Amino acid sequence: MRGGRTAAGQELEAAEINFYFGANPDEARTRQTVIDAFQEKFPQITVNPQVAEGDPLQELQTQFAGGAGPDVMMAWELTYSGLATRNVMADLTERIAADAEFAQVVAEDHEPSLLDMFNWDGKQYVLPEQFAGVALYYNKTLFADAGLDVPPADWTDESWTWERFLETAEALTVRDGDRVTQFGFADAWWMPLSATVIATGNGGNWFDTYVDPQASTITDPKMVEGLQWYADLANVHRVAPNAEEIATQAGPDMFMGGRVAMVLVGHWMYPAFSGAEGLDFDLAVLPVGPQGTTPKTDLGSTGLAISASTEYPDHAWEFVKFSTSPEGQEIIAQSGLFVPVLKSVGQSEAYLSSHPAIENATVFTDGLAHSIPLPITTMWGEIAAIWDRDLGAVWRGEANAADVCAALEPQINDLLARG
Amino acid sequence: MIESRASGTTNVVVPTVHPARRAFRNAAPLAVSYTVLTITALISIIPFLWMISTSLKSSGAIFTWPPQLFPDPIVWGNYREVFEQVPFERYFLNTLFYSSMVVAGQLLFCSLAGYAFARLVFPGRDAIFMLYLGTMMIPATVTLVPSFILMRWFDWVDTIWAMTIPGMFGSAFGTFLMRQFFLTIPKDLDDAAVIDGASKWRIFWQIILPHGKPALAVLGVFTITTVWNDFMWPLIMLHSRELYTLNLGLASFQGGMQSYTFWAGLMAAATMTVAPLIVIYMFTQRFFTEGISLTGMGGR
Amino acid sequence: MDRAGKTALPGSFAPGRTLSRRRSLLAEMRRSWTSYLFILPNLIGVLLFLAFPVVFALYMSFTEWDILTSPEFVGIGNYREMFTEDPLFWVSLRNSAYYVLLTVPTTLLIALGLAMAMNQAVRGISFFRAAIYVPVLTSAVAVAFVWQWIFNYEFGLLNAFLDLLRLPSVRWLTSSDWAMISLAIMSIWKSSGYFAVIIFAALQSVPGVLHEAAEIDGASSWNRFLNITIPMIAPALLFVTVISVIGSFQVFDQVYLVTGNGGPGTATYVYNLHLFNEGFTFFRMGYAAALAYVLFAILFVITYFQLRLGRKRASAAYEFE
Repeated sequence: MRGGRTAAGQELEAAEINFYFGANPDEARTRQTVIDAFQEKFPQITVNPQVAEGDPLQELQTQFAGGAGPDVMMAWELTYSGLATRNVMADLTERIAADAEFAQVVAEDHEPSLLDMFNWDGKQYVLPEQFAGVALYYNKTLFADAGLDVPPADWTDESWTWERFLETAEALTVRDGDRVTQFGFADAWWMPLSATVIATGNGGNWFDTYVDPQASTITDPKMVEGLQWYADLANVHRVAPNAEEIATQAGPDMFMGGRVAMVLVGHWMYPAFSGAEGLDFDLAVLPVGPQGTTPKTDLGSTGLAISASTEYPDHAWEFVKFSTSPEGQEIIAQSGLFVPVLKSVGQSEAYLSSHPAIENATVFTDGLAHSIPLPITTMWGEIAAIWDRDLGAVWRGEANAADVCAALEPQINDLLARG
Repeated sequence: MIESRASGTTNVVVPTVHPARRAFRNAAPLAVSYTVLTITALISIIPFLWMISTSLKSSGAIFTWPPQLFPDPIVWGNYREVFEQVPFERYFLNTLFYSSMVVAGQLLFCSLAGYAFARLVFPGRDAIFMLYLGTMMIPATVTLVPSFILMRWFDWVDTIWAMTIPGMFGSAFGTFLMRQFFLTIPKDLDDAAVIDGASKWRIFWQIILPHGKPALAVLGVFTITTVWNDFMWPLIMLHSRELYTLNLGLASFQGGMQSYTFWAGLMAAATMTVAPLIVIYMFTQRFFTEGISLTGMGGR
Repeated sequence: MDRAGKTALPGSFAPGRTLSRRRSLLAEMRRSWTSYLFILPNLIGVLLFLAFPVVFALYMSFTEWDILTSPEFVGIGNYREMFTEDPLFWVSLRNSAYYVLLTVPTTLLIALGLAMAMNQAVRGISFFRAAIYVPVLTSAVAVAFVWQWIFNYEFGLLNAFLDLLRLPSVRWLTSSDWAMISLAIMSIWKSSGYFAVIIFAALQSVPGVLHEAAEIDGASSWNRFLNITIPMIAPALLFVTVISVIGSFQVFDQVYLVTGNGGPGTATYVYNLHLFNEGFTFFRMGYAAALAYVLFAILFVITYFQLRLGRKRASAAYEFE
């Protein structure tokens, strides 16, 4: 009997499985190369891609509530626990244990912190596929024209302080009377999370623990300072677009149009940015706050999970294994779709050579070791809703962070207790 | 002979206002009316013109201040980009299909029922009709959640059945409309046919329905507008892109993982969503407005 | 009307037969079985997709149900939570009420004005009627996006227009003060035409004789308006008001698309948005059903009082006879 995986896989009958994932148009194209490679290896399995339209958590829940969920689904660190506890996802622990070859990959090649994040209540529901922490993209041309030093690409560099960041941003903000024609910085991610990641760069923590937290710690002065500093960029210093300006043109569009010098976002925008005409850019680390130590990013990740109610669990499992083992991860690295999670692949030439537009691709792979985890809680939907709403007031300059956090902490704790 | 109802007399009273002054008094309100109407017509149409204008602009032209009225240069490519990102032809066909099915069903079943309520006598007729009136008063929101569960039980979520079957059986409102209209058809027509020995069915097909054409047209036009422009129902029912309606496709154009702000494309997508109904409207204007009056008069 | 002298018509067609005994009821039903066939498809539809859901929603409102697991009976727990533990419930209720107050009176006044203007006009009525009706028949989604661009702070048409008048730009969609007003403006623009056409049809049916007679009697235009026009179109006005209130209270599409989740903050967080979130974002279907029933009750009470008030005014109008 030959070594487990491939032999068993080839014995499977023909089937079609639905694979649900989130991707912008460029990512969707790159993802297709991985799917194609898998289908080459397993010609009898057809993978139907389903790209998320809006909020994946809501869509997945609606699909499963309607009795028609996908067989394989992309899972996000923030939202998977709600689906796991509702028996939407299958427990993969036993499957991993039963497959000796793959179990070794998981034990030795996967990043423990990422695996832990996707382990709920002792069960492994998701296998991580990518590291999706955020970093700073900057426009090389704008920096050169202004004669400024580019931001560092080293996560241990303590000199990239908020102060230096602000000076740089101000030097790169161009005004025309009342209007700003070029911004120093823009957020190309999601304000509630970006602000929090910036705040953790000040040494703060969002919750007492990260997996299934019981108490929020947003009233920690380090957090408050961070959130306020982020909001002040737009309202006080005017180096970042405010609510009205972001409504006109979102962060990514601004960066691609050369209207902003630095943006905060993750790897998923690389394909779009590298395809933008005339955009010469590279990666740098996020700034560190006065109370912080070294630059930090978030331990963002997504992975793959199998539906607990799928008709083709074995087929689905083959696809998940493929994508999260060296074979699939190499293709992922080569295609530039994600930052791979396997240690063996992360250091490889494949990943570096798939990012020809930049020199500092290691900013992402190195970031893994300097990241603060995101909260894993079944109440994420509700918490995110009030976090978004109330932090918005701070960002619009209508309230200050200290007051909002003080008012919000008991509410968040109530929600955590409910979960 | 002008009767003065207020006083109950039949005297002809001499007008107390000089005719010339009266003519002017009529002219002033007339001028005001036309001004009001023209301004309102402009306000109604300008957003659409702006939509089309924006859809043809290059991104540079969009972010200018003060805003350009006419696109210069005219960029047709925006429409092409929309089609690349979003299969609008598919959505158009879907929407057309759902609408046609529902309209066909509504016209048939509502006129059948309307005829029965208007002309036939059977036990429970009035009670059932009261039920209909009752359900018409229920806000749509109340049925949203349970209808979702119902569709789930039938396994119709994310299928064409959820988009067609519920509507095809006809609504209480449609039957109400048809009944009101049929009541206005002179009974002598059917009486004559009955005496000749015609069955209910024949009377329906050969007498009532032909005379009911205006109401049918109105109901048809009203239904197609409702189905075409529906948003919340497709939103919770459909996930598969192949089944999307125009409205849903338009909404998804702006969404997705990143909130891109491709205004020109968004306006182009909006134009394509709005155009079909406007074209239909141009040809069937009369029926829209007649229908409105029919619903307005209610017959309460 | 007296049918005496006409040949008696066969059973099903004869009007006004009363049935006294049960036996003849069943017999009557059997005899009219074909009549039932006529209403059957429609009746099935109404019962299955309208009546049943309403009743089922009541049951659901007493449960905690997320569809993926089985429902859990909680009695009036949802209602209690709504009124005592859910601040968003009150916020959304207040917002919807505010929205109704902004939209309904304004729309009605504009519609009335438009209808009267059309009534005065002689030529081009169909053109004007067509123009003001176009916003009505366009999808709320398209309208939302077009107006989102028109309301844009930096490059929008409205701020450009204000600039022309040397007025300061308004943060239409990003300020909590203006956001709801912006939504109302969009709604008023979209719906006025519909109600104008209804009122216009009603105006057209007012016999000109009445006006002429009153004019001869020396009544001023204002007088005629108050005492002839308004009472005569009272049913249409009542209908328009009732429909308008019921519709506005349930606003969803525009809010969902334009201000996202009822932003900025909770400035535009309307009732149906709360219901949608609870039901389809957090999947608390039982709670959402309870919210729906409370809405039903509110609208029922409002409509009841509107109808009563309306009927009184309408009947008072005829008293001068």
